[in-house]
Amino acid sequence: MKLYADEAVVIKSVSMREADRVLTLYSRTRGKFRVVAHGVDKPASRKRGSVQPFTFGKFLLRRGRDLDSVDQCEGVEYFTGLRQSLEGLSYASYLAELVDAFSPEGETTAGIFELIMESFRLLGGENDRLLARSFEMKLLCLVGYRPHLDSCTMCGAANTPGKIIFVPALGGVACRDCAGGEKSFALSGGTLEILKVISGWPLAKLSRIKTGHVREEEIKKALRGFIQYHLEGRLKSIKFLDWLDGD
Amino acid sequence: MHSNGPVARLVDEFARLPGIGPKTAQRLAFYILSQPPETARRLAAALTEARDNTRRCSVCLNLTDREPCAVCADPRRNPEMLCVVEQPRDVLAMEKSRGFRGLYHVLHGSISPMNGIGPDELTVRELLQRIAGGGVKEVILATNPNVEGDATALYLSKLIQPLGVRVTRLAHGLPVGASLEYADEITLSKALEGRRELY
Ligand SMILES: [Zn+2]
Ligand SMILES: [Zn+2]
Repeated sequence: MKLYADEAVVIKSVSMREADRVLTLYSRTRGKFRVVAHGVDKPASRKRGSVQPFTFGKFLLRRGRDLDSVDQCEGVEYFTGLRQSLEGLSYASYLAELVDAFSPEGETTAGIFELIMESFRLLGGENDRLLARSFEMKLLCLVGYRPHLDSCTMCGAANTPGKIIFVPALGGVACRDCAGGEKSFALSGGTLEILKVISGWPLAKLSRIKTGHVREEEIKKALRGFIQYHLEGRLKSIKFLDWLDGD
Repeated sequence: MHSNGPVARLVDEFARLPGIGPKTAQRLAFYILSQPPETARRLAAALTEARDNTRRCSVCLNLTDREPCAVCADPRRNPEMLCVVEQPRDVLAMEKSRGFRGLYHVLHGSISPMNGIGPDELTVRELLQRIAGGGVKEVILATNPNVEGDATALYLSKLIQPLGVRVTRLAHGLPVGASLEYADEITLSKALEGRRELY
C-alpha cells in the first residue's frame, strides 16, 4: 500500500527548498516520525493551516524512498489557547523540543502522545510554568529516566529534611557524603514533595498546588540539570524561556 | 567537468540561493554560459551594483538605495500609522496593495521560541525608540499568521500597549477567491475574529 492514514500532532516544522517543509509528527501508534509536506509554503496551499506546529490532524501519507510525504491533511485540533499568549507558544515549543529530543524516530512510548495532547490543551493558562515542570517529570518517567526521590540513590539512607540534594549523575536525590564531587542541586523539603506530586497528579489539577517562586526555581534548576545530563547538546527553546522568565 | 572548475563554482553559487536546488542551479549556470558574454557581465554588474548601493533606511530599516527611503521621505504618507513587518519583501507586498498610506518598520526577522531567536535579534529597540519619539498613534502588526509571527505580535503588543499607542494586528481570514468549505478551522476562526460591520 502506497498510502496510509494516521492521526498525529505536529511537533516541529522546518522549511526546506522550494515551498516544502519537513514535519516532525507524533502519533499514538507510530511515535515520532518525519514526513515531507510539499508546497505548503505556497500561498494557495490548502494544507498550510493543518501543518502548523502544535496542530493535531488527520494525515493521509504516501510512502516515499527517503521520507514519506503528506498527500492530504485536515486539522482536527488547533490548541487555540496556547496560541493566545507568548508563554503558551514558548512552553509549547519547549515541550515539543523535549519530546523530539527524548524520542527515537519510529518508536512508540506509551503515554507520550496523550501527555502532549493534554499539555497542549492546557497551555496558555495561568499555570504554564508548573505544567512544564510536571511535563518534564512525566516525560522522564515515561522514557525510563524516572528520578529517584525517596531516599539516597547510593546508600539508601532516608532523606534528611533541609539537607537534600539532587544529583543528576546519580539519578536522583543523595546524601552529601554519597554525592561526592558530582554537580548537585539543593532541594528544600517542601520542594521535594512538590516534585513527587507533580509527577503523579493529572496536569489539569496542577492549579491546586501552591508552590512559590523559590520552590519553582529549585525545581526548574534541578530538572534542567537532570535533563541536560541525559541529553547531549542544548535545547534551543530554553534560551527564549529564560529570557521570558527574566534570567 | 572538473568538480572544482569555474563551471562547478558557478553552479555552487547558484545552489546557495534560497529555493534553488542542485538541478535548477545547473540549468541556470548552463544557460548563462550558452549566452553571449554580455549577459553574464550585465548580471554580474547588476548584482554588485544593487548590493553596493543598498543599505537599511535609518528610519524604517527597510532596504533602500537612498537615505531616507522613498516611503519615509514621502510627505504624503501618514506618520501616525506605523505598519510593522517581518521582512523587506512584506513592505513590497503591502505597497503593491496600495491600501496603506502610513509608514513602515521592518523587523528583519521574527521571534522564534523554537529556534531560540529572541527580540534582541530583531530591530525591536529601534521600533521602540521610534514610538517613544512621539507622533505615532497606531501600530499595525503585520507579522505572518504562523507560530513565529504570532509570537512576535504577542511580544510587541505587550511592549507597545503600555506606551499609550493603539496596537492592531492585520486580520487573518479567508484568501480572496477561496471557498468556505475548503477553509480549515483555524483560518475560519481567525476570519470570524476579524469580522466587521457591513454598512
Ligand atoms: Zn547516601
Ligand atoms: Zn524608510
